[in-house]
Amino acid sequence: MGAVTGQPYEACFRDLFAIAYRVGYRILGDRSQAEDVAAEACARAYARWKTVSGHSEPWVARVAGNLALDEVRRLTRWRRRESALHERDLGGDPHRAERLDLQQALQRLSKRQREVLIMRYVADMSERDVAETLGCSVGTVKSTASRAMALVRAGLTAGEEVRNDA
Amino acid sequence: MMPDLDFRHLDDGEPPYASEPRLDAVRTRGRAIRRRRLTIATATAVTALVLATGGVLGVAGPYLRHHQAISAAGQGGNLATGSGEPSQSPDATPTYAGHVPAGGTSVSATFTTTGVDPYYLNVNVQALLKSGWLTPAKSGADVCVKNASYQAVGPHQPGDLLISADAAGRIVLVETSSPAYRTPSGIAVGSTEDLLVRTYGNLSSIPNKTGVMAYTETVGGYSIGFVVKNAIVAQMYAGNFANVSDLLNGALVRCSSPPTGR
Repeated sequence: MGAVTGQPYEACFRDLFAIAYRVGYRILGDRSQAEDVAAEACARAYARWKTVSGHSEPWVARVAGNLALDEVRRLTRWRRRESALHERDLGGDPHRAERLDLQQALQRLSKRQREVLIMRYVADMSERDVAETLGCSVGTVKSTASRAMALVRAGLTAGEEVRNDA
Repeated sequence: MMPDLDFRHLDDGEPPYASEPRLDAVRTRGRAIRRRRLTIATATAVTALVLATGGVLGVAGPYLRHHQAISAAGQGGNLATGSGEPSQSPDATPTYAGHVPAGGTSVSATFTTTGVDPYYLNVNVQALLKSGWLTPAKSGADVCVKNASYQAVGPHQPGDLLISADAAGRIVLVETSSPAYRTPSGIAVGSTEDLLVRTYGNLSSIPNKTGVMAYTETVGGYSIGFVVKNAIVAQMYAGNFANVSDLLNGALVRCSSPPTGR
């Protein structure tokens, strides 16, 4: 964790960009899309730095996750999952199927569950950071994350079984 | 206990470096976002202010103007009875100039207890005269010496609406014999007596020396008087209750008669 409360934006930028890129790439699996997501998330943090600086890393992670899922929704409007899977086969991403299952699983969660899961597991934030960002208790984060995790795990397992059967 | 999810294997092996040019680009984009938010916030605030102001003025404006006229001029003057003097000194209370429509041909034809827009009771006639909404209604000997009578012109048909003012120039009586003007309840010259009584229900009937039937509908000290001839409403008057009832029962002599040759 590099960003500390009260630091200027420029001092935190490298860490923020890295977190946002990680979240974007884990969900999208595409470098250019993840870079765009990271840049946009960091720009939004810059625009609101006075209010965001106290919890900038989880905030940027949350925004990056939402932007990545927006991108997923935009893509899936004109591309079905199977065709996307086939298309990505050509791209050489070894985790393409798992990523698509993750995208679908994240979209099935409620807004709060999705934010908790993205910050806690996709961005690897601590439960305390997530709680501070969302303005709730650590216990609430734990219980929300647990329910979200179960749903995502079920989605990932189902996707894996389908692939094994195929 | 359920093991935590681990997505580390989905990471990019060689993530891009957050270089200085990238920081510059992000700052530029951030400033644009900030400007857009400020613009939206400003536009929203201005729109809300305009809507709120417009809403208040639109809803309350006519009401406030109308009641300002009444309260500014007090209870209003009386028509001279016969050769009597005006009951109020011209300087006793301020008079209200009223609002004068900018022009055009669209006018309200609603005949209320306080007159017809813009010929409201207690409004000073000078502004209406200057702007051509009124013209003196001279008919020879019928014109009173100390009180003035006018007829509404402009978009109104001359003679359809007669206006009487006291010595201070304030409107004290509005009358019509034209079916063009209708009360808020829908009664107009030409309505039947039966419909009039059914519409208002609590009308006061006034004994009239000339033998015709007359009624008044009074709201807050101001009245509409209906003169009924042959079971048909023939004239309507708006003024304070004393003036209208005196006029209807024949105790009040009008300052002028409607111009002839209408």
